[in-house]
Amino acid sequence: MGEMSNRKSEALVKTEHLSVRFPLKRESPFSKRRYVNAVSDVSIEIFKGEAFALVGESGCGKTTLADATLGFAAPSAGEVFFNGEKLDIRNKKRLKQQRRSMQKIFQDPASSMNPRFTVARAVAEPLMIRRELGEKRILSKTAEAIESVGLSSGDLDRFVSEFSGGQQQRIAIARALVSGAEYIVCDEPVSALDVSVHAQILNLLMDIQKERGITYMFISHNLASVRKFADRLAIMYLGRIVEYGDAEKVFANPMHPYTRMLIDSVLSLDGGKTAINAPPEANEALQEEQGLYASNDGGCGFRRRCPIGRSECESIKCSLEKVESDHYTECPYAANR
Amino acid sequence: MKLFQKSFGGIAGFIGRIWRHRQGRIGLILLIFLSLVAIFAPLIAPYDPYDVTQRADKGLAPSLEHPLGTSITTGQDVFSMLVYGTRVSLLVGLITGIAIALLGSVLGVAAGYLGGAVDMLLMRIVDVMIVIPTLPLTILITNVFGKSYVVIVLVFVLFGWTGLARTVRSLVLRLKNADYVKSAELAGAGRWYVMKTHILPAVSHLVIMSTALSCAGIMIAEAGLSFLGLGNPTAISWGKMLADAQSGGSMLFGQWWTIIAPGIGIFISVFAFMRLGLAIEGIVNPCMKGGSDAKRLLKHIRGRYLDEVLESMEDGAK
Repeated sequence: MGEMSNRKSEALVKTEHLSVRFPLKRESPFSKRRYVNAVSDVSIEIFKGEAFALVGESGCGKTTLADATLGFAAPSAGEVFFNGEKLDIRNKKRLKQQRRSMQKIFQDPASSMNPRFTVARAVAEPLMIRRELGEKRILSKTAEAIESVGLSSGDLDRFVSEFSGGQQQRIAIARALVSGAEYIVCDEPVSALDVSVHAQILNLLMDIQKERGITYMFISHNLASVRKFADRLAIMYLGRIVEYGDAEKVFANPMHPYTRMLIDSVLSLDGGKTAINAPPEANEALQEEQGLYASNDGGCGFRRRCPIGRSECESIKCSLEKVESDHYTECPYAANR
Repeated sequence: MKLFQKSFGGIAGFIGRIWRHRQGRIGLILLIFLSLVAIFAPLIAPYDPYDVTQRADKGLAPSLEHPLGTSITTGQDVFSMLVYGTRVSLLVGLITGIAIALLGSVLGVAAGYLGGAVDMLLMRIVDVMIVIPTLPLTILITNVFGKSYVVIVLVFVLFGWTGLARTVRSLVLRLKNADYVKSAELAGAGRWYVMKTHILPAVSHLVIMSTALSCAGIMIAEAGLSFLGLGNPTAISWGKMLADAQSGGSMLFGQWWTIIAPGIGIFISVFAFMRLGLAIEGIVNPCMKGGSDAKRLLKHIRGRYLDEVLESMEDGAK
């Protein structure tokens, strides 16, 4: 994917000040209902044909944001646009139409396909639900899809549960392809797999993208695979996008302290250089944050773990500011650290 | 298109697995034997116990003519009554069991998958039904609506579906958030499709197991009601045979055969269904901890099945 073509093409998925929150259980019937802000005030654009990565630690709202773009999570504020058209969860009929060009590849392939299904049935299910094609067409399309992910059409009558994790993930990819999706959310597609097959699956996804011009939303907390895979990315922390833009630019010049921490903490094979920057009390801080997270008291969400935090961070109202073209960060002190 | 229809194991495969299970095989053989006896009762029984002209002297001891003697109140051939009684027991057990399975699984799936108000309503009904003492109410209802097996079956179904519905619901709650259900919804699947394709087949084994076990319980309950004189007075059933023996004073005159015969009938049929149910349980849920069969049986009889399932789920989570 050339950088220039991205810039010119229009956004396939776009969110505008999107927030998603989930109600917490009330402590008593009289207390005010509290909410967890899983995603708050997120505005991103994913361009046609690019691989967009969403990076962040577990529980930061990555999956909720992705689900919102698929019409699974209802926004509490803001809007989601798909192909320039608003995604309205309440309009079930229209949503069904829009979802025809979306698919999701799940983290655990074993649970993303019914273990009682044969490979043929698992892959062909989207086509069978639509009931538009005849049996012969469905069968030929299924065989074509299963071969394009490197399995043989002889595997079609075996059960999904008979395959290894890597093969199951290939079947899941074939299933996403057969429906003709142009937008595929890959929710940590390799993290449940053996390390030895990570590269195979990632290469397969990239090859498919080259061939068919599919747009990916790639959810990950593994920066090594993101670096290999992504054209653009967003770094997420406690429901907010803290850094956003062109992947090469972000890796070359990480601005937000959290991004730097993430990049520094990537384990490398060069020995010695390996550094994990999170302070020893990080876990404690994290727990405090979970509480904070629900109350949404303003200020920078990252301040407790921030190496360059200062008193102003307690009350600051952050928003994404431009660093260079297609590179934005939330931290106003990042440049003059 | 065979590729798409091939299902995991299938019905034939499932019966094959029961057959390979030692206890399951005992249950299957006994059940087939009982069914054959019920179907061919007129051929097996030497007399027609419904025919008043074929009655002999009352209270005869076992002989070549009457292998299990004659009854003490009417002089009917006890062996023939035993054979004909299989029909009532099996029919009431199977019809009620299947009706409970259908009602319980449909309502359980509806409550679990649809959630919200439907779930709320159904589960509150279940809560109320569970605390109603069944036996006194059954006695009341049969007295009001007449002593017939139709009424008895209806009452059993009315009070029998609740436990199954609750168990099915808890399983569905786990299934409906499975990634493959989400994936199907993303591909445009509606509720009906998801229920039919992904949820019902996954709960079917649980339902089959529970049906086998509830059949056994119902056969005992039916015998109990007939013994209390609440069954159809003109039909010949094992419970009624016991009641007659009791009222005629069989024990007083030492005529043990009139009591042992229906007892063996009840024992064999309940034993068959229990073996079958426990075998299916072992196949469906191999990690179920349950101690000895006797302990598990007791739990089933006390209706503690749901607790057990939940416990084994929690252990799995640990």
